[in-house]
Amino acid sequence: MKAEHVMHKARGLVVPILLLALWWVIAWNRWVSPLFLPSPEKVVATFLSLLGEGKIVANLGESLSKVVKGFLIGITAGFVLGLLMGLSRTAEKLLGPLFNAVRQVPILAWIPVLILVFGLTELAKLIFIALGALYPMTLNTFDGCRQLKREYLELARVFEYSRLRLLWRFTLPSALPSILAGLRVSLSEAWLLVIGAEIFFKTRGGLGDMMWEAKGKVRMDVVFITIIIIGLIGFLLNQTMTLLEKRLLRWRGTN
Amino acid sequence: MKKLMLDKASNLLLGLIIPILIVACMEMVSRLELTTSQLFVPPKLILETLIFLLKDGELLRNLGISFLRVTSGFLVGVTGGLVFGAAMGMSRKFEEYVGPLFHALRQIPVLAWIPLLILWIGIGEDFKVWFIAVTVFYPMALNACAGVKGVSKSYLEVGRVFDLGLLKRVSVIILPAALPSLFTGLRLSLSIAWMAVVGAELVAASEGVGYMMYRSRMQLQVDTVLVCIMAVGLTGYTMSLALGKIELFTLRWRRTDS
Amino acid sequence: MKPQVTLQIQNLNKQFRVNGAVTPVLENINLTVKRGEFISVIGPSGCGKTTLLRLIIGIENSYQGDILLDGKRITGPGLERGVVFQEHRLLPWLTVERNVGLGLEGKRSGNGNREQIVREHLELVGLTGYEKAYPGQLSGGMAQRAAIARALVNRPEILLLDEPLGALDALTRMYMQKELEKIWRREAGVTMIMITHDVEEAVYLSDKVVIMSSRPGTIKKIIPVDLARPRDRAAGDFMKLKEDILEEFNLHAEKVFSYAI
Repeated sequence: MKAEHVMHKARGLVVPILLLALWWVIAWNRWVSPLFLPSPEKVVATFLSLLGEGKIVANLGESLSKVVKGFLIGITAGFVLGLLMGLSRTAEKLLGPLFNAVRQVPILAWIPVLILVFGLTELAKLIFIALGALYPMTLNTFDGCRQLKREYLELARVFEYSRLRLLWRFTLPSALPSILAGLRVSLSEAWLLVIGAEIFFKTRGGLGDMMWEAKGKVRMDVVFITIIIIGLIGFLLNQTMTLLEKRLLRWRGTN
Repeated sequence: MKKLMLDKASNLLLGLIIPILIVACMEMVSRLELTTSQLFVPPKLILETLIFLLKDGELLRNLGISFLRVTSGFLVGVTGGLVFGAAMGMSRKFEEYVGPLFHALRQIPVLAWIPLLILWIGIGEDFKVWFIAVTVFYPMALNACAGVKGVSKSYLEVGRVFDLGLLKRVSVIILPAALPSLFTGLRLSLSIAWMAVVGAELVAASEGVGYMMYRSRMQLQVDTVLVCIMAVGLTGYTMSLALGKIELFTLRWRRTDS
Repeated sequence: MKPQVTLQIQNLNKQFRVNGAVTPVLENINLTVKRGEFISVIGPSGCGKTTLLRLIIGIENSYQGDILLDGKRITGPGLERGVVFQEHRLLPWLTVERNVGLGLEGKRSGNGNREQIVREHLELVGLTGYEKAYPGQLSGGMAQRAAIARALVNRPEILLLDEPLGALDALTRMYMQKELEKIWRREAGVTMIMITHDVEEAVYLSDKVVIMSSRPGTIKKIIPVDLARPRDRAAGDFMKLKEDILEEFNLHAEKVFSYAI
């Protein structure tokens, strides 16, 4: 049984290894210009030198601080909005249509407006990132609130629970899976938009900016490195969120 | 019946309250010149700009270009994603070989592909179309894979018992059963495609809605920017409505389910 | 002249492997079915009767022993063995006639006039006029009839039915039992092997009733039903046979009791 398992996993490595080998061969023979495809050794060497210069850590920290700030703002606002619309039908009717209409607009389209209103500032970028985190959070919180089963609602009414009690004991716990899923999606949206912000707002700092600069100087090796790091961080953020989700849900014992 | 119509009317009115308030706010603020912030443009100006741009044809021309790019990239990416995802769903071996790399590359936020693609393909039409295709590939592949995997075993057994060939099994059993998931993927991909085209046009274009926004921003024309935003939102919305109608038609057998 | 015996099961044994532990599912099954017979297999839940049927159908394949159809070992599904499942399993996105026609779209299907064959079989099961309907528009009984038509379009030698009427309400079930018998008699020569929970159904329809016991599944007894058709459910000998079969199960329960002491 175990051997089969190992073989399954091993199959997954075949293609990446083949590609790596192909990459190395192409670069070695210079079949493609090194501007297009730097050799693996160059990429590693550049990585190590950048690491030594502290550039990677600095830019990484910059991006991470943005994502954390924007994420927190976005999910707070999103949670409040989603809760409001989820709990009150009136609020849903008031805010819903506008929210859905605004949601039709791709987030990137707001960039020019944000720049015009707030200038090329950190604030503009933060709002941008927060906006991205807001949508999924609102939707998921809203969905979660609406998920409360009828039976519980009636139970609470029979026992004449106060509104607050209903919220705390029934609505929120049953909304928890949705909310946690919303957190996860919001975080990956936020990370995506951090990179976007750094590319589109064209100011200094961050991995996105590092990548854009490298593009300008046609430093493909740096571009490769930044892509890998960005992907890796995105993956780690996602995994953290998933773990958190599993932990919390196990605690609550939701089905 | 009357109650239903009354409800719908009141819902519509409630929904309009805040937008109307916002418009009124903007009007007041710009009239009274309370702030120099660029955002508070008199709504009348926006309307005038909209009409002007429509008459001029500039809005429609740029919108059309963006629309074409979206459609091409969407078709390419969705087809690729569909084939790839379906293959992953149908063949365990294929998934084992290709899966890890697929999921690893998926971690890269789509926008991060821009610099790489620009270095490889330049900033021409190809770039925009391929960028859109790449962004759309993943959600479609994931949904296709899930859809194919989700096909009920009962139906697959019917295929085995009646000795259906692979092509028959795919076209008569697997694809129709996976269709709802595929449509979910299509809807998601459509909105992502619009995001991708705006992104691409903001940094590397000389025409299209995104470029129009970029240029107007540089020229501090808030009204034009806002008009573009509304245009993009509206077009995207209309397209997804159309997709919804296609979905309803294709899945019309569902309506008859007892 | 076709041989008298069509299906032979000899020394059939099967185990399931669950988390490392091996559970016997079928033990020492020996069964001979004559051409054209109607056999019911009846037994408590978990006695492996569905597994047995799936082995004969050919969608489960690992077992020890022999399952021979006309002397040849069964290695997988085949069009000479038609199948009716408990759920009708009609494809909801195809019309009734396309669903029934699905039976004719196999790799090794013959080439006859498909439309006509479909029409004939829809008539056989009494669904003429419903060709363009979707499964979602049909009642349970009608859908199951379409499934039966689908199973018969290939003129199979054996029809295997896994509790075909189990999902229907009691009234429809009685009606469908009559229909099933009619269909069987019109499709001259088809051998029927049916799994059922319903003792009365088994006595009403079969030439032989195979009684299985569970854990592990074995054939306990085979009771022949020699009553003339169509059968009268209220007749004395009908009732007696029913009781005989039911006793087999009560007896089984008693045995367990005596061991407990």
